[in-house]
Order: sequence, then C-alpha cells, then structure tokens
Amino acid sequence: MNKKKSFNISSFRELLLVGVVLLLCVIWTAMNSQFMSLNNITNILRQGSYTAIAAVGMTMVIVIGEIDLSAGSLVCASGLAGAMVCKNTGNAFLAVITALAVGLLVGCVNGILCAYGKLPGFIATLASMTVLRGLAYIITGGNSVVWQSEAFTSIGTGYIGVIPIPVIIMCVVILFGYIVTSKLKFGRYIYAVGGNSDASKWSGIPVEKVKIIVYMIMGVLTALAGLIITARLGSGQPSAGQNFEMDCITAAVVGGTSMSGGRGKIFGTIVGVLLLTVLTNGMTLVGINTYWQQVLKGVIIVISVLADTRSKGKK
Amino acid sequence: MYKRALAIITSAVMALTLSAPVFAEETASTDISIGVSFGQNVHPFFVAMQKGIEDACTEYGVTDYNFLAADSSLETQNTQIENLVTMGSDVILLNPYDSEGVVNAVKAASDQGVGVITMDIDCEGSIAYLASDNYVIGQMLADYVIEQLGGEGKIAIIDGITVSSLKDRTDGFMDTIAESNIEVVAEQQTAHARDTALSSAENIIQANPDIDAFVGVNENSGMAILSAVTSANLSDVLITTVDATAENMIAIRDGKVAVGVSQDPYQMGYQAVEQAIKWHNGEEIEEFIEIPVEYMTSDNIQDFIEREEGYGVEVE
Repeated sequence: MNKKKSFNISSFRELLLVGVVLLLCVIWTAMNSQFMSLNNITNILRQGSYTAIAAVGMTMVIVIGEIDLSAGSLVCASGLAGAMVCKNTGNAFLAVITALAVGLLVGCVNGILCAYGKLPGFIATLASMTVLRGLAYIITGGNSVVWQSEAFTSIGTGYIGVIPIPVIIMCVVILFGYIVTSKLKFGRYIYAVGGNSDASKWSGIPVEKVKIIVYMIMGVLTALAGLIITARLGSGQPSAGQNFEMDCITAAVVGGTSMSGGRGKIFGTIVGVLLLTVLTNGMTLVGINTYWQQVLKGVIIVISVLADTRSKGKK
Repeated sequence: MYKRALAIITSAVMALTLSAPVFAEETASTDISIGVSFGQNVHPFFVAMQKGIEDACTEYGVTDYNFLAADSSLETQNTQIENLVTMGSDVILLNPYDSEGVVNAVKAASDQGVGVITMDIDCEGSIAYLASDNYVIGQMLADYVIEQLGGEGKIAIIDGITVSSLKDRTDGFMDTIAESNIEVVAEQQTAHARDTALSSAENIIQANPDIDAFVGVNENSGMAILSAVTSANLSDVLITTVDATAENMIAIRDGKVAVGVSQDPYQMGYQAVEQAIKWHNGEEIEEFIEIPVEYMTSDNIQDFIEREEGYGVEVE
C-alpha cells in the first residue's frame, strides 16, 4: 500500500515537471522561432547528454543516501587521461578504455572509503575532488592536451545518421539506469539501503558491496561524460568540469530525488536535466544576460523543490 | 596544528635562506629572495609567466624563489602573501586575483619592508607594475573587426567580467564597436570556462546563424567559438581570439581563426624579476612597464610560434 502511494506522488511530480518543460518550450518558441528547429533540438539534446549520463549515476548515489562531489574533477581527470593516451598512441579505443578505467578506479576508491572506511560520502568525495584537481594541474602543468585522432573527437561531435553520438550514448545509459533501478534485485537493494541502512543490513543486504558498486557505476558514467566533454572541447583542459557535480545534483533534486536517500527515479532526473538544459538554451537564444540566467536558474530550482515538498505535505 | 605547520615551514625556509648565500656565491650573483603568488594557475598565460620568472632567476643567479598559486581564491592569496612575508621574501611578485581584495595584505607586506611588484593586474601599494593594457586589446579586436567588415554587419561576442583583465577587454571592445555601424546581436559572459562558453556559442549560432563575425576575448572563448562554428558548418564567420597559446596559434596558422591579439606573459615575468633585483640593489625602478601587444594573423603567425617555442612552449 505504501508502495502504491509513493508511486502516485512521484508520477504526479514527474508530470508536473514535464509540464514545466513543455511550458518553457512554448515560451521560448514564442520569443524565438529558431527554438523548435531540428538543429536546436539536436543542440539541446547534445548539451544535456553528458549531464544526463553522470546524473543517472548521481541519482543512484543520492538514493543510497550518499553524494559524489568528485564528479567535476573526475570529468576533468578521465578526459585528460583519455586525451593524453590518444595524443601519445593515436589509438582512440585505448584512450576510451583508459578513461573509463580511471573512472572505475576513482569510483571504487570513493566506495571503499565510504563503505569500509565509514567516511560520509560527502567527505570521501570532497577529498577525491581536490586530489584529482590537483593531479590534473600537476600532470598538465596548466596546459591543454591536444590530440590528432578524428575517431576520439567524434565521441563528442560525431553523428550516426542524424543523431549525435553523445545522444546515443545517453539513451543507452538511461536504459541501463532504468533497468538497474527498476528491474533488477540490485535496484531494490539501492532503495532499501538508502531508506534504512541498518534494517537492510539485518535483512541480509550486503550494504557495503551495494555502496561500492553504486560508486563504481557513478565513476564509469562520470568518465563517459568526461570523454564526451573533452571530445566536444577538442582538447583536454585541467580546468574542465568545474561545478559539474552541482549540475548533476541539481538535476536529480529537481527531478524529485530526495537528498535524505531512499527516493528518486532515473526518469525524474532526466526530466530535470532537460529542464535545466532547455532553460539555459532558451535564455541564451532570447538573449538573457549570463548572470540573470544564474539567478533565474536558482529561482526555478527552489520553486520546483518547494512544489515537491508541498505536494508531499498535502498527501 | 596550523601553528606547528607554520613553524616547520618557517624553520625549513630559514634553513634554506641560510644556505642560499652559499649557492649564491657559487653562481656569483644575486642575494635576493623572491616570492611569487599567482591568482590562478590553470591557464597557459601563467605557465608562460612562470617560465619567464624561472629563466630570469637562472640568468641572474637568483636561487631563492618560491611559486605559489591561489587557484582563483582571494582568501588563499591573502594567506600566501602573509606566508611569503614570513618566509623572508625580499620581493613578492604578485598577480592579484582581484585588485581590491589584496590591498591589506600588500600594505602589511610593504610595512615590513617587502617590495610588491604586480604583474598583469595592479593593486594599491605596489612598487612597480608590469602589464599589457587589456582595454587596448579590446580596442584592437574591435578595430580589426570593423576594418574587415567594412564598418557594418552583425556580430556576436563571448566575453566576461569575472576578472579585471577580461572586463577591460570587454569594455575596450564594446566602446570601440559602438562607434561603428556594427550591431552586436548576441553577447554572453561565459568566457571564463571553455565548456560553458561552448554551449553559449552553440546557442548563439542557433539564434543568429547570419552573423558576420564571432568575437572571442580569450583562448577559452575563441576556441569554443571555433568548435561551435565548425560543427555548425558556417564558413564565412570571422573569429577572433586573444593570447599566443599553442591552440590559438595553430588555429590562426591553419586559417580557422582570422586574428588574435598576442600578449607576452613570458616577458612580463622576466622583466618583473629584473625590476625586483634593481629595487633590491637600491636602484631606481620604473613604476609602470608596458609589455606590448600585437596582432597575430596567418601572415606573421610563424614569428609568434618561433617566439613561443623559444620560451619552451610545445606547439603541436
């Protein structure tokens, strides 16, 4: 019975969000006819793709009651690792594998610190955030890393048919996230751990392993996002990905994921990403100043979360 | 904890300073301790500046120098200035992250007899200041665009106001372009980070595919604009950038970017050390030294590539 009730609340909320996104689309189209062009829709999807990919992982991390602050630094570190391997070997495949391996490793370390080191995720990932950023400056000496391989660049800029490659990767990741959280036993474990960690343990759920695996998924997905961002920029940048983790957290929270754990859906997060991307894209198209954009973004976040808590209160 | 760490650092530095004269005698030169604090350190501009300082120190036999970078944090930079004074620096070469935000720390340093020389961005209380005029850089970009477009057309710009160098360029550009018949149809102030600049550039092109020129005021914006223009398959858009970095120079050489304005951060760092030594020896120094800025186009880009390679920059 409980389950049914929470289903109703979250689907109401998601509908509300979809409504807001559609409303924004109507407003932007009215103000600039370019907004609804095929080009711009592709544009929006491409700009949202990398945030969506990492936000799928971030949703799982938040659902288990933790957080990952190292995502922005990992975007930078994994992208740099890929760019450097690509520069030195010219082998795009090897570059991708290296970047993903960096992500897996960092996720694993975050998870172990959190599960067995008993550190709060906030602290563990705060530490890896500064370590990775520092290493990025040390290794590059502040310079950007440029490669020659077209194949590597196409991860961020290429198309299959008319669909950009980052968008295809995003769709695969969303499907993966949906299956893991909604169809697999592991998904139920995630919600159980976030809902009540002690009770989960008594009922035989391997809480530590679940945490480590979730952080590893987050690490790999972040590295994937890092590859796309790096390939899009055309060079590895030691300053890339600053505040990226905040975009992911914002998308998840706007999408209805509860910061106290146990509640949140991949679909909600994706709509959250879409909302933020449509907002930024539309505001730029109609020529709203950069700093007003930030103000409006903040207001929208507060309104959407307020709507959430109020709708919960009513029920 | 903090005090103990400070004590350890201070004694380590004292040990180093005591041993420094020994080294100094060997190279038969300068007995001066130079501390350096950069406001940010993520950009090739500051990498080149640091290289200039290092080379000048080697040239003049200065062995006692320390580099610190505040990584875009004003609090960190204030602490660093205090620490450099504690460490016994005779001169601090300072690249303020913000010209107002370091005034007190600089005053405290001067009160203890430490000379503060500013690079790129000035602040009150400095004994000398070395920089290129960023307002002039903005004017030069505007002049070039006006000339190439014959005084009329539509342009877009990605600029910024987060640091004073960017703000001055933006002002210089906008003031100059306002006098022509050129219309700025879109502006986003996202030049501080390349990923946000790229999204802005893409969005601007969506709304204004008919622009004649797209102006970048630093490497981040210039290269982001280039990526966006390339993926949108626009051919006749004039792109500008600033700084003689490897990526910029390659783009200009390959004809993808029309023009860049070059600064010379290596010379800024190098000459700052020369001023520091002069001041320390009690000689007269100049209060302001202007490091010249120049246009880089496909005609003269090879000279800049050679200059930067001479500084040890890897181009490709």
